Formats: sequence, structure tokens, C-alpha cells
Amino acid sequence: MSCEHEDRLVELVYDELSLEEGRALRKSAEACPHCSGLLASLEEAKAATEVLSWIEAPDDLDAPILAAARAQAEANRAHAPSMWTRIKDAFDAFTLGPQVAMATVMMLVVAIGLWYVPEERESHEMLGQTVVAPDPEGRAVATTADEDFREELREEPETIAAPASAGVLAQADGRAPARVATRATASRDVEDVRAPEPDPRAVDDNIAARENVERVAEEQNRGDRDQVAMDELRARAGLEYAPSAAAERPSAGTAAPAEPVAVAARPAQPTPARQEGGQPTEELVPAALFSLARRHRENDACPTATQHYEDLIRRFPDAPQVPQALVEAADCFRRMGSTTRARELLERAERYASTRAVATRELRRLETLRAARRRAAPSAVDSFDSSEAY
Amino acid sequence: MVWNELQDGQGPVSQSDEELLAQFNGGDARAFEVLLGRYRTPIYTFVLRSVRDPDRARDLTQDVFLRVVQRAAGFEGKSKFSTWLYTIARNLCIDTSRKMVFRRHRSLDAPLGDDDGNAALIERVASTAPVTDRAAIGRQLEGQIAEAVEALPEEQREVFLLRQVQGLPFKEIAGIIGVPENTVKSRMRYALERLQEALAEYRQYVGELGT
Repeated sequence: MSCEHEDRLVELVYDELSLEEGRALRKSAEACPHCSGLLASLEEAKAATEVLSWIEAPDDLDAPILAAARAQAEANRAHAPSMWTRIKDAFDAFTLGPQVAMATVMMLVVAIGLWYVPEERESHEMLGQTVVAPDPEGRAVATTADEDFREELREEPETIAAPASAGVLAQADGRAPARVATRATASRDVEDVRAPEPDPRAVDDNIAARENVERVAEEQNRGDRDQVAMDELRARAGLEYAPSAAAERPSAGTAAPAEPVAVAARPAQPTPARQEGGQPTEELVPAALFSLARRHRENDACPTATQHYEDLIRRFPDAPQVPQALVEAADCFRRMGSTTRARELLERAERYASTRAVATRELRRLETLRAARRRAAPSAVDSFDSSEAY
Repeated sequence: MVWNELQDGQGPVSQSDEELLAQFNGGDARAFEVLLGRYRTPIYTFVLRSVRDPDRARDLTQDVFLRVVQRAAGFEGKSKFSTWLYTIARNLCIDTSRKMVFRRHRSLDAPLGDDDGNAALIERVASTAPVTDRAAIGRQLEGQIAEAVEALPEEQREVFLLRQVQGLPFKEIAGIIGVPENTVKSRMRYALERLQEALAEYRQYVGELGT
């Protein structure tokens, strides 16, 4: 025990040390004769002076004090600050107000962003279908959507088996059913499913639904953007591209219809909005225009068909139907005698992987036809380009 | 530190001193009554031990609480209420002691005003008469100790009174007096050593009281 710790003995005497510190100091003090004697002396003095008792205050002490206190309390009540003043004082005392406000705003922005990002990702995962682009050979193949995930975001929620340029599916010519690629939503693995043979009743349903879509899409083309019409368009298109009844019914063993058949692959867990037919307009309208144009083309109404094709290509250049629309529109123009426009469209179609082969073939065929006609009537070649020939 | 708490079941007996003072500032006179009940005896005891005049101690105690009433709105809460209160009391005592030259020469027959009624200080001085019982020994010893405390230097006496009698920790005493805590501890140690020397002849009595 060092005597330099003598002052700490007072703390030990008055129990102002922790239990551990007190034990250690007492043990050290007892080892030192000087400190042990001093500690005993201090403790003895403390014990002796503990006999000093409280001295009770006289009774007449309080009266003037309480009178003054009541008067002061009354004055305090009269001048008590209002609630607003207290709140203002509290804010005034908050010197870091602007900084905290900015930090709060930033945190809100980040929180809102984090709130939407997972939801957006989840909604895209819900969309996990693949547009099956037509192949010139008549087989349905999947697009290479895995190469560009952003392309996938523009795909429709259902797998649409677009027909080949001839407008028929594989089933129509008696070959094996078309192979339709369906991508699993989470893993994006591609699995092959066999498209069921269409049911006649489903075909009727599709025709009826398509007529509705046509009617509503025409309204849309007229610029009618009324919200009610849009809702109706969504609902009716939901019939067209909802999971096909044909896919759920047993095959009737009949030939597939000439018009395209929508083969749907329902998302694993569609959102309630999509179950109610809430298909986005930017996906719905091009699909409707494409279907409409195709129906006119199949009915040999090429002028009307080309209008819808052109409308689709002009308004929705990034739509997944555009490559096939270019090919089919070119076919219409060719049939109408406008080979120049047909060539332009086919050249554009060559830029797409899914239609490159068929576009090249059609261009070659167009060139052959043009050369043959030039040989037959050289002077009529130039005039052949007019639509009057149709 | 709750002494004469208002125990009528209605007062805010469990509230801190600072909360009560805030309520008083808000216009609650009863909150101040609770504070007065808590500190009237300790302050009076401290003042009386300091000035050793019951009448003056009463007046000074009233002055202490009246100053609290007047300055309550200015209490910022930077220290404990008790620290602030004892600081006021100490300053008043110092002012008074400076004015009262007779402080060290007061009459021995002046009444003390303690719980023995108006027993004179002379009655507390060690008597040569035989001690008949333990209570008599205790009263005699208390008088002897009171004299020894009065004999302490002022800076040691105030530390001793605040720590031994009022029960304030050294840290709070340092805040009241305005000196470092180690200085307070040193003063306390010297005060105890002085008292021990002065009370040496009563060691036997102290031992008897402890048994």
C-alpha cells in the first residue's frame, strides 16, 4: 500500500468505492502500518460523529415560504407558455433540424426505392414466358430471350405461337405438334412442352374473342382512349391470350385451324391484377393489331391488313410481333403488287434473327418474280409496282 | 434523500426533485410543498451547524427557500436540485459569517434549538459530573462533537457537514463548493483527523456506544 493513496481511504470509509475496489484497498491498507492506522482513525472518527443528529426545523419556518411559493405558482400559471410555444421551443432547441430533415428525406427515398425494386423484379419473374417466333420451315422455336433480359421484359405474359409465314402451325399439315418453349420463371430454364391439339370449341371461343378484340382494337385505332374502352380491351384480350381452353381440354383429334392459335403458358403464380385481365396496354395493343391484321390477311383483305400491320410497325417498333408483321405485311404488299414496299419490309425483316431466313427467301422469290415479269413484259415492270395490279 | 416527505397519498412523493421544480414552474404550488418537506430539516441542520444560531438559522433557512422560489424559473437542470439548494445555503452562510464577527464568540447559553428543545450549548459541553446512563453519555458526546466540529476550519467544516451530516457524495460536494473532488476528499480526511484528536478522550465512550 502506497501512502500516496491515503486520500482514497476517505472514500473507503464512506463507502464510495465499489465492492471490489473497497476490498482491494482495505487489503492493501492493512498491509501498511501507516495506512492501517490512518484507516482505523478515520473510521473511529466517523463512528463518533454519527451521533450528530438532525435538528428539527421550527414549525414557524414554513409559513412565509409556502405563502411565497403559492404566490409564485399563481404567477407561473398566469405566464405558463402555451403548447405551441413549448413545441416551438423544442424545435428551436433542435439545432440539427435541417440536417436531420435532409437525412430523413434521403432515407425515405432509399426506402421507397427498395420497396419498389423487389416488387418490380417479382412482377417480371411472374411474366416468365417466351414468345415463340415462327420459323420459315413451319416449326416453332423459342427466341433467344436469354441473350437479352430486357427483351424479356417486353414479352407478353403468355406464350404466343406465331404461325409461319404460310399462316399455319405444324399440326395443320399433319406433322408432329409444334414444340413450344416455356421458360420457367425463376430459373429461366427452358423446357419443352407439347402443344395440345386444339379443340373445336376452343377454336370457336378464340374466334369470338378475336372478333371482340378486333372491334375494340379498331376503336383504339380511331384514337379512342377512353378508360372504359381500355378496360374492356384488357378484359377481352384476356380471353384471347388467357390460358387457352384448348390447352386444358383433351385433344379432339381434329386438324388445327388455319388461323393462329394462342397457346398459353400460365405463370406459376400470377398476380391478382393479371388474373383479372390486367394485361399492360403496351403489350395488349400490338398483340391486338397483329391479330387483327392477320385475320384480314387471311381473308384476303390485304389493304386493310396492311393498314393494321403498318400501324403496328409504326406505333410499336419494339413489339415482339414486329418481325413477323414485317414479313406478313410484305406478303400483303406483294399480293397487292407493291413490290417496292414489300422489298422494304422484307429488308427490315432480315434484321431480325427470327425472320431473317424467311425474309431472305421471300426477297429472293420476289426478285425472281420481278425478273420473270420483266422478261415477260419489260415495259410493265415499272407500272407493276402500282397497287392497281391487285 | 427523502426526509419529511408528504405522505398523505396525494403528493407526488415518487417524483424527482427536478420534476417537482418543473411542476412548480408550471404553477403547481403543491410540488414546492413536497420539495420543502424533503429539505427543510437538512437545510436547517446544515445552516444551524454552520452559523450556530437557531434564530439566524431559521431566518437563513427561510431565505434559502425563498430564493429557490424566486429563482426556480432560472434553474436549468445542469446540476442536481440538491446541489443547487446547498449551494444557495452555503453562500448565504458564508455571507452571514462574514458579517457576524461574534460567530466565533457566541454565548454559551444561547439556545441550540435542537431536538432537546432549547438546551443550551453549555449543557452539551463535557461535564465533570458522573455519567449515569448511556443516553447521558450520548448527549454528552454529541455536545463534545458539536464543539469539535465548530472548531474545525470553515472549509473543512462545510465539507464535513455536507458529507457526514447531509450525506452528500464527494462529487456533489465538489460541485457545491466549486473545488476538485480530490480537494474535498483531502479536506474531509483532515477534518476527520482533527475530530479524532479532539475526541480522543471520548474513545472509550464511543466504544461503549458501538457495543
